[in-house]
Amino acid sequence: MKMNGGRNVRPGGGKDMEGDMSSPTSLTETRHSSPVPRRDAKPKLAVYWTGSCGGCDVSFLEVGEAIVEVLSRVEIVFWPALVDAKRSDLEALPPGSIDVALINGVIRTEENAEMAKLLRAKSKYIVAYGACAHLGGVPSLADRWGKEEIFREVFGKGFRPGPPPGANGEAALPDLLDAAVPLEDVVRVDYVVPGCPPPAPLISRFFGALLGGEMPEPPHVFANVKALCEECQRVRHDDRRIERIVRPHEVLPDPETCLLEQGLICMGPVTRGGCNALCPAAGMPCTGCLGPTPEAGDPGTAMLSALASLVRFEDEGEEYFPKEDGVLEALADPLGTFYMYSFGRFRRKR
Amino acid sequence: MKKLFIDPITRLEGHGRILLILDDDGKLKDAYLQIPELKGFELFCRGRRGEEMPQITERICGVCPEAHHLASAKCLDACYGAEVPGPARIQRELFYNVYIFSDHLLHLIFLGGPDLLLGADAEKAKRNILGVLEAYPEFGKKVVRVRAGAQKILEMIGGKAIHPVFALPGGVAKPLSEEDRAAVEEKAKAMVELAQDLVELFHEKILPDPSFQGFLLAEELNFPTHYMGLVDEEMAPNFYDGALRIVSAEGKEIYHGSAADALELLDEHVETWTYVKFPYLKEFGWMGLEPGPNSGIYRVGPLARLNVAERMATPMAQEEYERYLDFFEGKPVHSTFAYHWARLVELVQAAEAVMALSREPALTGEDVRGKLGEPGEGVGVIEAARGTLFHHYVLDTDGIVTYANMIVATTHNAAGIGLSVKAMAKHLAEDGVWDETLLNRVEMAFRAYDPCLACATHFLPGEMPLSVEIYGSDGKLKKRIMR
Repeated sequence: MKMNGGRNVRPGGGKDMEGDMSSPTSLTETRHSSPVPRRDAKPKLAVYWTGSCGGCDVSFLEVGEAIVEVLSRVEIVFWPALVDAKRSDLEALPPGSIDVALINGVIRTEENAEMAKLLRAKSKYIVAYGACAHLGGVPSLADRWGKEEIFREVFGKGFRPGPPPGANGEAALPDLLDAAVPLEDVVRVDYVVPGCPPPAPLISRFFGALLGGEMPEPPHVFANVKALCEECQRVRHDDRRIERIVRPHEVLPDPETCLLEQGLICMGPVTRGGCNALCPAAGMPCTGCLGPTPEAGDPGTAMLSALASLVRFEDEGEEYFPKEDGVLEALADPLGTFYMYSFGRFRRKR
Repeated sequence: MKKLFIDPITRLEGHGRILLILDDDGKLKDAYLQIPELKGFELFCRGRRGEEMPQITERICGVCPEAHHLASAKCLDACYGAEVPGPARIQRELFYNVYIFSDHLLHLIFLGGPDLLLGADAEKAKRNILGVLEAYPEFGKKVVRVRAGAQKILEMIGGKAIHPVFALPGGVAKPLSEEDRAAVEEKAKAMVELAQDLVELFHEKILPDPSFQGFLLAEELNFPTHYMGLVDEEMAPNFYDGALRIVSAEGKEIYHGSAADALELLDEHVETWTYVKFPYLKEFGWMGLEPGPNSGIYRVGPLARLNVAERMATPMAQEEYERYLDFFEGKPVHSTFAYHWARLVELVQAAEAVMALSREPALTGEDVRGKLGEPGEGVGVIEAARGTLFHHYVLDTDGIVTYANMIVATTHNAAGIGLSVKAMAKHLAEDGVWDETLLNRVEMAFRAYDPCLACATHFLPGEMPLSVEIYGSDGKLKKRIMR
């Protein structure tokens, strides 16, 4: 399904845009001042959620008392959870009158898409906040199927959303789109604060740049370019080889050693850092919520090639993987493992 | 239906959407609370590795991911026929009671708090978290501090506070260090102390308020339904585990037994104007959105748990439970506003439980993984802050999910919430006043349930985004009230 021909509009692209702003395409991190105001003026902020679980909104509290300072230094123009604002108020605003709009959640309904477009038209910068807006997130795992199959599975045959008895179409339930897609599929995205939900250090990094008047030139992802492994406290060995792939419930891993070396599929090598490797520190493999590094590109192909160089094949003695296909088989669910947060983004690219 | 928040802005322009239908005489005929979000978790969980389910299903709700995380882990324990070893079980139970405490605290002080602490008719601009902090500065700060400590424990054990990662079939990711245990115990002291303060505050400031008593006893908000919840062997509420008990609208026991088997007693009714399904007790059948002893509608959550229990599990909570029952002159309590008081009683039990569990010697044990059998079918049941939560999976021989169904707390309560909204609207409609007062009162009626949709949109200063639309007997929109 193509929503508006905007498939190629994504961070790193910055082309094919709607809206009114100039089209910066550089990937370098040169600082620029306009149109986000410097510290003397309060940036005008909008926050909105599309198909979200609520975790992104709650995540603002994770930065602790700092959120109170942030709120005092911005002007909230539109944030339905926070201030009294109607869609008609938003529609009445001149184009570009919002400096930065943070949107979290996947685009799952027609209404989600309409609101994203409306915010795009009114905002200088759009921020995809969290894994759903960034890459489709967990809900985009549904994209193996269409909306009819979701309706059939959840409600049974013949379900059609409509109004309640005694009311007309205005009261109808919003229909689903045929797929759950990332924000970049419906509007141009300038910045990304990634994560499921974004971890506190990255939220601080974003607000620090915004309030300090030092926003990098878009497109920009507020996370490390380097892989998660770079910040992971676990010890790696240069001659590491995986003899068998194990699943997290099958072993109690050694607390000090790299999880991948112990045969667990940890997405660390292909995933951006920035969270301080929380999951590996907790004894669980990284599942990739910050999205792939620029170098990795597609997380599935990148991870497969990382694995191929790590596993020990039978011609090397220890016979475990007779051939590369055996690696895929041992994974059991490559789609859910490699694309847990990014199926909506990468499904048509593979 | 897996998504429990009302999207704050509807396609039209509204927010949370309540639809009121009038008859020919302009009287209220029906009221509907519409939930416009659907993700299809039941479908896309298929094909996933079973052990990933605690991390996938918690994305149903970012406000109470802890509940999904552990309901899923318990479901997997059942699928693998695993016995969870003591240290893992205590870690989970401790984590879970911290979550209940933290979630109930958030609601009591900052979400439902403005209704309770500032009064139903407080100035609009003050009816929020900032208004509470202004009216109760010292206490408010203490609440923020203690809750931050609780969140720290969730992160310590869960790996991440929002969307934790620690639970696995048969156990948890890793043992808890003595250093972390000691930190938990330290924070637990502050939690128990705050629970005591809250009880005092409730009896000094909230309960004596005539308008609160008015709501507690209001005829239109006292409608009978059946009730469901988990109880331990002593018949006290248990949030993490236990047998399921269902009592009727008259207080008679309908079921007391295996929580997993209770799934057989339920069916789900589908309406095409909302993405939420309405579960009901098969024995009574679906009779539409009607309360009463003959309807299949039941409620879950704090009110329900205190109705199905015979006592509380800890001493301070027991004391408060007795005061609660004295006030209402026994069970079952049907008052919608009693949800708030019941939440307080539970918060006290959770704080005391955290303290006791943090001192369990086995908590820091190394044995955190139980032996797993062959994968198969299983059901996991837990009490989320908002009520009973069922996860039901079938795994194939490779441990891959082939079937998944989840019945979540706000879904069980969807019918009850609809009834409360309708009752409140009907009551107000008699005065023929369709204005902001209506909005506030209707909102209070459903916020009592602490539905995810309310807490998610109300955690920071501000008003609950909400619209009420009134449709005439011709089906056309007559009026929209919103803010």
